[in-house]
Amino acid sequence: MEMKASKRQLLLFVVIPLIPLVVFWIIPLIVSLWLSFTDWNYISPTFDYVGIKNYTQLFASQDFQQAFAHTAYFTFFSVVPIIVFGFLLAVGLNKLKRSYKFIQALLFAPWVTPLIGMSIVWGWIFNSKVGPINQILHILHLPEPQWLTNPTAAMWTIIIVTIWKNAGWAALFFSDALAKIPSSLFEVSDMEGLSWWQKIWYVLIPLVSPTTLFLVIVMILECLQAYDQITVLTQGGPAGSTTTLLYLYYQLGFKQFQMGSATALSIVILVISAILAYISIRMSRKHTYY
Amino acid sequence: MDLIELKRINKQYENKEKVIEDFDLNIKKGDFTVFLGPSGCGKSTLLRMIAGLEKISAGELLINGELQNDLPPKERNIAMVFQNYALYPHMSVEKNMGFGLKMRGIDKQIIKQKVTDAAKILNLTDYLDKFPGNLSGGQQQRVALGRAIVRESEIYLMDEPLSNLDAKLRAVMREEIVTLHKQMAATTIYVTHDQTEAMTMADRIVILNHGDIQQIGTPKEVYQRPQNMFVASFIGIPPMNLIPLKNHDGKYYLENAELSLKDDLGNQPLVFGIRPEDAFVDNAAPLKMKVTYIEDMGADRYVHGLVNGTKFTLRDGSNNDYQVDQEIGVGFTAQQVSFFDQVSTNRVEANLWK
Amino acid sequence: MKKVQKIQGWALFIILLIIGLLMVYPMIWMLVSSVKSANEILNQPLQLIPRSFHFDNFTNALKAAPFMQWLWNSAWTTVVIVFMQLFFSSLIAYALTQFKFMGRNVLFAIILATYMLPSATTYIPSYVILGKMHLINSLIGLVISNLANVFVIFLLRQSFMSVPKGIIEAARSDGASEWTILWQIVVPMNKNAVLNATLIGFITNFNGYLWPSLLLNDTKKQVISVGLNSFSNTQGAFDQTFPIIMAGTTIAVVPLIIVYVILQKYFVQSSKTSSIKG
Ligand SMILES: Nc1ncnc2c1ncn2[C@@H]1O[C@H](COP(=O)(O)OP(=O)(O)OP(=O)(O)O)[C@@H](O)[C@H]1O
Ligand SMILES: [Mg+2]
Repeated sequence: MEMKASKRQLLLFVVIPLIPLVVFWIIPLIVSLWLSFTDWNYISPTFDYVGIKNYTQLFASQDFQQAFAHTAYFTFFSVVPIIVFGFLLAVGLNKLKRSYKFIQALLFAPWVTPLIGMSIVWGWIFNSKVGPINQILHILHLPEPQWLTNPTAAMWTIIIVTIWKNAGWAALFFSDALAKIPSSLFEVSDMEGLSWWQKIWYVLIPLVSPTTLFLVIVMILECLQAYDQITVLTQGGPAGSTTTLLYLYYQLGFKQFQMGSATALSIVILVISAILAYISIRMSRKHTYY
Repeated sequence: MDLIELKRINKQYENKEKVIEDFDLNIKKGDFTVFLGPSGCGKSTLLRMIAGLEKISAGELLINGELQNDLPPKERNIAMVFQNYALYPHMSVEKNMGFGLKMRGIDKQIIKQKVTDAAKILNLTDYLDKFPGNLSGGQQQRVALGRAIVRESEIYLMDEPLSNLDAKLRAVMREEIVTLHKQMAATTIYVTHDQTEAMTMADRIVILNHGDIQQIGTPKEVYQRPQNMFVASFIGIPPMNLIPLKNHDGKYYLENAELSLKDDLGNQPLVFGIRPEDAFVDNAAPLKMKVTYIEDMGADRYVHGLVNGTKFTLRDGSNNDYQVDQEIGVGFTAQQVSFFDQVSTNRVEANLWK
Repeated sequence: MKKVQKIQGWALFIILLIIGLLMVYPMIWMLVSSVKSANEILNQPLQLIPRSFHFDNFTNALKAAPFMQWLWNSAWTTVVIVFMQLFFSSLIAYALTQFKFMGRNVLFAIILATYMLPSATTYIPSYVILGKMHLINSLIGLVISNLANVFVIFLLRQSFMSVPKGIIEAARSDGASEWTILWQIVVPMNKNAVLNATLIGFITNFNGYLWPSLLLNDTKKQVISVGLNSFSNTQGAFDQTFPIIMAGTTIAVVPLIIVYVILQKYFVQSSKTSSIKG
């Protein structure tokens, strides 16, 4: 039987510990929503209600549309490779007979190291003059892109760093999911004569699909909130080509002090996250058969 | 020529002791063979070697006279039912049953037909669209069987397929499996450590211990004429009573009563064996037992006690009252007595006068 | 057949090893570059063993910016934050699993909802709130605004749920208070979850950037990520300053590498239970 809590216990176990959550999460969420209907500029003490003008302006602005497109592009081309690499690495890892732990540790290291510091390093690795990547491309007589100054290449630089950070992390989840598949299922597939790719296609992929779904949603949320690599490597440039929604939010709020537009944008990001979270929960219900 | 021949099969897992050593066995077409033995004795290992899921370390496996050692599982025309069912959780019952055929590129129409037929036999027609996660243990078990049936293999291997079911369902499934085996004129090897299953289902029981065959025979043979003390004490619930005999001047004594043997065994040290159902209360008998407790089974009961310190059990159908610590006399049916060598533990053919 | 398998096994090992080494290549390259001379980096960026070791890069970096101060700031704020998060979250998780009270389900629903939402949404109002408390540009402000972590609450709640009811009832009938039960029975029984939360909290807080960068202005008051980035920006992307930037970055990254190498086993386990960063 659960115990009915006394007033004192509620105060100690619920009310006090909840204060930080309320003050720095719940209230700010509500205040954000409220601010998004004002034209506050942070400095002036007064402001007016402007209705949904911040939102209409935002949706109409080219900056927003571009940032939306960049976010979608960045998210798609980061998440898909993260999932695919993560899965393949996990399949490889689980077949490995030796040094499993060591290699897993190598793959996971990028997730642990600070992204700010490592992005600085990546900036130099991608340096078009002296960076090792272009040096290697030079030796191989391949084209040497201007990684950080060409708009398309800059986006891909960000994407590569994002994949680098998260692929090993995803692999860890996949290898856990794979290890939980009973070996008898593979033996059945042996007896039924499946080739290795049929095993992957008909058995492995469907069986890890709950993990895949989970990783997809977590990675999408991660990409929606990506900031460190962008601020170090490109600062949203060149010419806004790597400005994502979150980066635009930072610029609007903390560079231009358009608090109304910024909070409106943050509410948009929140709604996108909520929709994706909802879809994922719905889908995971449909996909959990065990 | 027998359908399956195992010749001097050896199995050693990497860097471990030998699990199976020089194992020989022939299995005839159409037989229902049961591998019976305690946990860890190598039953699954044997089965998995026949299926091709485990490498054979040394020796030969022949099916239809052809060497199988290096054939992958799918080329052996064997269907296997796994202990934990091993159903694909992401496929419906119908898909699970038809999957093996689909992978062999068999026509969809034919698959559907076969799955429908198998489902009818197994009473699964109403469940074809369900997923394994939504089925009871017994239903999952039948799906696993159905998957094996539709393959229409020559040989069926079953590894403790009923171990996860409750007693009642187990009894029902035992019958179903035997019926199916006969219907399909299949050759089945069935692994279990449940002797009731072995006794009720098998044409032939292979009793194993530590990877060695202890005895091969029909259920009746292994029950009535156990080839060694391991089999004697392994088969039968409660097991056979075993009491070492004393031996003076070529005469054998069961405690203080002399046993008159027909055969002259010299001075070979013997163990006397009698099943509880072949022993009875006979207060005139010279063999005395001190009652320790009484187990009432409803129809009759088991009286447990000590014969000069050695545990002894007998079945009693009377309505007499026995008290703990009471001393009772024990008689037995002379024709049902077994003898074993004390050293080798093997059966010794000997009979009592009387 | 055996031979083929052996070769396949080796090939797989080598492929994965190469991928693994590529993953840590940036770290290795950073370490190597931090002791090279500017000229050597420019002329032989691929060279993995420096011709001469220039440890003065480090002394120069330490002279140019207060790295040790920044590391210290990050370290103590992270420790306090993680500790306090665990403390508060344990209380809430215990209440959610062991108490009956009005609004319990609503509370859990709110926590679940907050769990998925981007923290950026809260930045502007949180900034204003901290401003009202005069805690902008203060490490105390950083600590206070990070006291709540929905992820930790969620993780601990899931773990606490598996504590058998009987154990708690037995403790109650022995006369233990709820406070005692939580800290002496429930928390020790869930030490894996607590360890997970600690490691994940440590990494995410120590490496955090955006929120501290908004909050902290003074050079002396920076945390390491923010300080490092501003250091790198002020040094500029000039070839000659390159070694000192790499030395600075190394100072910032190496503590985590050391922690990771020591606690590697726990990291790999614990990250599996993590999902969204707090
Ligand atoms: N993959 C393996 N690696 C090493 N040893 C193994 C392996 N599989 C089984 N063994 C060992 O081989 C012996 C026989 O195992 P096996 O699984 O064949 O027993 P079993 O008779 O099927 O037992 P049970 O009734 O418990 O299923 C056991 O001692 C076991 O520890
Ligand atoms: Mg077994």
